[in-house]
Amino acid sequence: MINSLVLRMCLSFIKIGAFCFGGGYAAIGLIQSEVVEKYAWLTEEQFINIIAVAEMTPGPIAVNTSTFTGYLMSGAFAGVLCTFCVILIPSLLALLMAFFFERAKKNDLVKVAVKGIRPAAIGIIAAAGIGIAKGGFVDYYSLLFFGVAALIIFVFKKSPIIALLASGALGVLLYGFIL
Amino acid sequence: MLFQIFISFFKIGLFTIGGGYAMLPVIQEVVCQKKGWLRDEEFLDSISLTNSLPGPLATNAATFIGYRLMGIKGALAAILGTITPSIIIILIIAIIFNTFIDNIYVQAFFKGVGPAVFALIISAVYKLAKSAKVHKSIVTLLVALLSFAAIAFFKVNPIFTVMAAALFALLRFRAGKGEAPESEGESDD
Repeated sequence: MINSLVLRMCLSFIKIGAFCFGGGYAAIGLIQSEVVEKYAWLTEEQFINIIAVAEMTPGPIAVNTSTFTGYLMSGAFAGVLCTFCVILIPSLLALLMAFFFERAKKNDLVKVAVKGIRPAAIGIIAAAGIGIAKGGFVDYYSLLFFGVAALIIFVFKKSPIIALLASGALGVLLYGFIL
Repeated sequence: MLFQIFISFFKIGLFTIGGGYAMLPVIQEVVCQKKGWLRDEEFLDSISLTNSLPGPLATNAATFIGYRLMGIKGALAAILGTITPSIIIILIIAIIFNTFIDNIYVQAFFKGVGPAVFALIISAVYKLAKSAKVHKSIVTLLVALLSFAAIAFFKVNPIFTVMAAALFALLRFRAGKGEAPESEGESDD
């Protein structure tokens, strides 16, 4: 079951986990760079579908994205493996932190570094947005779906899940029944 | 107790949609109010600490809390509890997804969803930019823009921008120019 692809995948997801500061979307940025751009294991379209499903299902987005990506690349076993790889380094660090709790509480350098990483994480997510826009905008109607989603998120302040479901339903209506 | 930890985090993982930040209040309710395993301050301390780690917030918090409750075993139980529902649900969906992806209605759904995902990314960038206060500091804004440009246009590996930004912040801090961390602690040197 473990071949060289799975091994390389594991290394990639360990790396992704170790460097994804700033929540689930930062992980999306790193997975995009590693899995879609560097190794072309998945297409941009597949990856966008994965993000949508990860957002609509329970659990951490980074975990969901890793399981799904691994599954699409090499089956259920790879999906589970990628998930464990992505949380490996963060969990070890969290253990260390719990172990050295009192000392960790006082360590300023860590806080300075993490605060400094935050803007870089924003750049990582924004850069992932370019690939996602390229893969997601397939025709002029895409602008309509984008508009509806943006309206729901930014104007009506509803959850991203509602935005995804609404634009998906609109897609079914438009491409499935009208066109 | 070990099983209790697993089940509690399993439930948390199963019922919170919307990622790590949505899970925190649920974790707090279960761990502090329902089970009384940690006091609220202990919970907040653990969150502010694990917040500085890479990786999923929910699994990091689970690791930390599990360890404080029952050592390494507790940490493992909490991690497994958090990720097991995700793995099961995603695998089921992925199998269904692979079977039905050629269906025209499923394709139509995902054609509609694609641009919405882009809107989500914009929203994530906006929220993070606001919480990092990029509009207040030209240096922060520059780091964000440089990181974006390096990855998007020069194909730099995002890992390098993370390392460069951390190093830059530490150097500025050492030079006395960077902001002190919010907790107003004293510096190391």
